[in-house]
Amino acid sequence: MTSDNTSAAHETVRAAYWLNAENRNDLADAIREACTFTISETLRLHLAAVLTELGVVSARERLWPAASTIVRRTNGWTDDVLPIRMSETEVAAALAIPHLSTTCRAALTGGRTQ
Amino acid sequence: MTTPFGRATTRQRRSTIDVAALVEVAADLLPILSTDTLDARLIDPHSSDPVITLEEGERRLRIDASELARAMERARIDNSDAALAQAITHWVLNRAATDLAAETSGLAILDWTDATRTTVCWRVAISRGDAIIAWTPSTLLDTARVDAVRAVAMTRSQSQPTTVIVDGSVAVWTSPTLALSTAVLTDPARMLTDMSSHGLTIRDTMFIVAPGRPVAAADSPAATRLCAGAADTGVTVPPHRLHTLGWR
Repeated sequence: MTSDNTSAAHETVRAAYWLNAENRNDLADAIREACTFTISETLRLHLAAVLTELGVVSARERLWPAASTIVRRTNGWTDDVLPIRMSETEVAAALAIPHLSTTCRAALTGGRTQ
Repeated sequence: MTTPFGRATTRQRRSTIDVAALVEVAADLLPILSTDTLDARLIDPHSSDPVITLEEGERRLRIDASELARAMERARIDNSDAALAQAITHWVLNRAATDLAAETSGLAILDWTDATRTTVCWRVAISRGDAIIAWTPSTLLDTARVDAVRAVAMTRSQSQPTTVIVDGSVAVWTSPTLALSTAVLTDPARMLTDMSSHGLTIRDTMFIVAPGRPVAAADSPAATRLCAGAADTGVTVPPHRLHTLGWR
């Protein structure tokens, strides 16, 4: 069978950045806009990976809600705050976008948002 | 932690179950838990160690009350009448599925192949109350009969109600009984139609499967990313491989 245990197979270390719906929309919009400019292919690839992550995070929450529900309850966060899992390189690529909103930038550098 | 008796009801590392109390609760409860097909009873209730039997179709389970009490102690079940009644009820509801039940109401779902949870396989399962019981064919059935039960279960699963939601670049299917959500994978063509009718067109579709959880579909990079960040284990399966997965 060709199914693979991707959780175990993927070795990239990704940390959770807790973004609310507004932050996620801001980040996705900023990435799409940045990709309309001339940027390096490496940066484009990292930003595309972040966009992929933003596209799957809600579905991941539907499949495995338990762990993040505990974190939200512990911190008193609203239900729309979800963990975006990104590598250091991907976060650096997002923060390199000059027009990234202040709140989104704060959420990525502060490690959480509300 | 779930156990054969449901969730632990004491925080003690190990509880102490009074066998006499267990027998008393069982004597009241087993007749109520018996059905048209299940004969649940206490044998020799006044002996030093009565026996509890569950008989249904070809399945026979016989256990000393003292042995059941020890198993409940390990499962950290509290010695109160209410906790004992709850534990016995859970244990009876989770008894093995009979061949007849599998034949008449079994659904095909995906389950982990083994405890390593790295690959999935098809299984026939039945619903009993809130419990979902995976069927293990008895030795009374020959291969042809087992195959027939599985084929009917596949067909039955195809008509199970399912809700589909498109969320970002991913489609997610959920059954009213969450643990049966993977039944939808018996009809991958319908799933692909669901996706396109919700405006999601994907080349290179991969299904994301985590038995007991909803089922998702995305393109290959998104599916890999979805699983990689998961708090629990999931596997990806391409549509054309679903019907080649083995049975357990």
